[in-house]
Amino acid sequence: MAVRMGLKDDGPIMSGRDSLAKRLCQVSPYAGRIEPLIGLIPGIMERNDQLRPLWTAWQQNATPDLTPEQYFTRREIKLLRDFVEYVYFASDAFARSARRGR
Amino acid sequence: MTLRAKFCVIGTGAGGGILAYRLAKAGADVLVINSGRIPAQSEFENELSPEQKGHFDIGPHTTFPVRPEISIVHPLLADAGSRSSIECPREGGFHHYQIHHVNGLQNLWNAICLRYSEDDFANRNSYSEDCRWPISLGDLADHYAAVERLALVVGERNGLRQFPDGSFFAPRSARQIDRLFIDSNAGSLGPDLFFLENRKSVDLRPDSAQKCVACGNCGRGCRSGSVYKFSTHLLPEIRALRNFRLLEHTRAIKLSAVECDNEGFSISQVVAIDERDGRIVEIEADVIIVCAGTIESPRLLLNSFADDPSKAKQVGEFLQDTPHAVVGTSFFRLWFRPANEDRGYGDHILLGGQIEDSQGKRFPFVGQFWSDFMKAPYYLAEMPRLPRFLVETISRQVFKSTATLILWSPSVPQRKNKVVLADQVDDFGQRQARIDYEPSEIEADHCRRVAALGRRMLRKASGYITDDVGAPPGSGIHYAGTCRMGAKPGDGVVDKDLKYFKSKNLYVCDGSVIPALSEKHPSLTIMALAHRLAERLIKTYM
Repeated sequence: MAVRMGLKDDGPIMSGRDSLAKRLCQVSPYAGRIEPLIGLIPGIMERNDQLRPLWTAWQQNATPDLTPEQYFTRREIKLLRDFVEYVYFASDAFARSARRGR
Repeated sequence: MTLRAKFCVIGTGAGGGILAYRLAKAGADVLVINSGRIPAQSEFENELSPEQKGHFDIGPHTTFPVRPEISIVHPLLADAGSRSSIECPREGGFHHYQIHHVNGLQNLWNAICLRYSEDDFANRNSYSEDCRWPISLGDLADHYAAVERLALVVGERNGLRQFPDGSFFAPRSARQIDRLFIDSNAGSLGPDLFFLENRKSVDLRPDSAQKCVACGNCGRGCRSGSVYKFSTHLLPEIRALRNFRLLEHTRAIKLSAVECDNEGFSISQVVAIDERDGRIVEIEADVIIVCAGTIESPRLLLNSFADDPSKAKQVGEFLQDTPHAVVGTSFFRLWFRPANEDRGYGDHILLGGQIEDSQGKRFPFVGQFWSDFMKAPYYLAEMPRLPRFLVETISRQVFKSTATLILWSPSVPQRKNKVVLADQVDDFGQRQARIDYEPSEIEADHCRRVAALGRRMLRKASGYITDDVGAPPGSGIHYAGTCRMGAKPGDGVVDKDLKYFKSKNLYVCDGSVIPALSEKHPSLTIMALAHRLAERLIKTYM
């Protein structure tokens, strides 16, 4: 069951899963851009064979002061970056701006 | 439960749908059975963005960085595992895309409608003496015209020998990206290459409720219903007829044969199973027409005649899928220009003609020039080390300027490529099929040649960086050959009228009866064969 908790700088209330996902996505320079989509990230990671082990491990072992860079290998960090980058460029926000030709 | 009908049609794909419609309209007592259900139009939500779908097209097997060959088949309808006709394919083996629902594979039909040419039917482009058409273009011409009218095919008459003209509605006009591709290459095509308007079953009538909404994404199922499907175009006309019945969720598992006094046998009963509760449904019919598809039809026949394999001679052999190469690019000349929102129906333009293989022998090919807004940003895999601002800039430009050429060449039928029964059984107790398949060297050579041509042409239009997208066996989704037509027993599984050799009342009518795939998309030919068979059945049995 998702734990609901208020986070200082997050604006709306964010679930524990979302908060974990947000911290995980910080590995990517696109983390800020996909913040509105953060609620979708845990479900997608759980569904995907390549991402599921990373999400499970992060859920089980993340502590408040642990960063993904400290926990994951360089290869795993690259995988996470590729994933976050993909999500941003497949997002409606990106598609809208590209359609306008900007 | 036992049901009785004059005609029992098994399957509602390209063959079964047309056949059921024509028989029902002629007043025949028709019972149609099909696995699964009628897909709701709302299931084809291709206009939904990856974000709206909630999963960004990231499935269980997507790997990062993402490559182009992700998610070809409509995820809601794709069938796999123990409900599938085939055992799990081995890595790199033939991948059989299958949809166990009404309309079959036409649920994700791209809608290209090309008539086979006189040369195709005369076996002039044939690569096998064992797989030869026993009919001519003249035998099918009227039936092509009839199904073109039913399916609302758009196109222009070009007078080309390779692409016989048909009954067309006016197409859409070419877009900015089409003009760029055509104009950049027009001067250097040579006498054997040409462009033509695509011929597609897309409803463009302005007053139609099913009018194309120009989303450009026909390849995974049409959301607006403008692309022909049995369930949206023909079924509504016949559904209320008293002489027509459609049983959904009903899967044929066995044909019961009885020997006749003289030579041959007849099918006394179709045994089917209700997929929801396992109830057995027995169907007695004067005529049985198997239209279950190139893999499922031979599986049904092989399972039915497992005790007497002499009845299933050659069934399953010569499995084919049209060889193809896929080349993608982004046109630099469209960068930093306003995006054109009109994506039409995705592929307005066909490229056709003949080129030489590596031995100097000429072979025909057809290419479809496809462009729509990207759904999945797979191009990111190509720029892993670029700074972020550059990735963002490039992505914006690539997004609106991508084009893909899919280039098809004739298949090379081989007896060793076949569907055989596997040891595993499916959820309904029937043995699944195994597919043995190995593309020929000639096919691989053709693919290399057309891909090289495609790359050259894209570069001329400023697509300097081209990407060869994988085209693994089975991904053409043009399956054929496993119950091929033949002039006489020994030449095939069914005769020129699609009647099963040595049977009194069994017919096959789907992609499996095509003896040799040409470079052209086969759906229209399957539909025309079904229309022709319907006319014969009406004359013979009514």
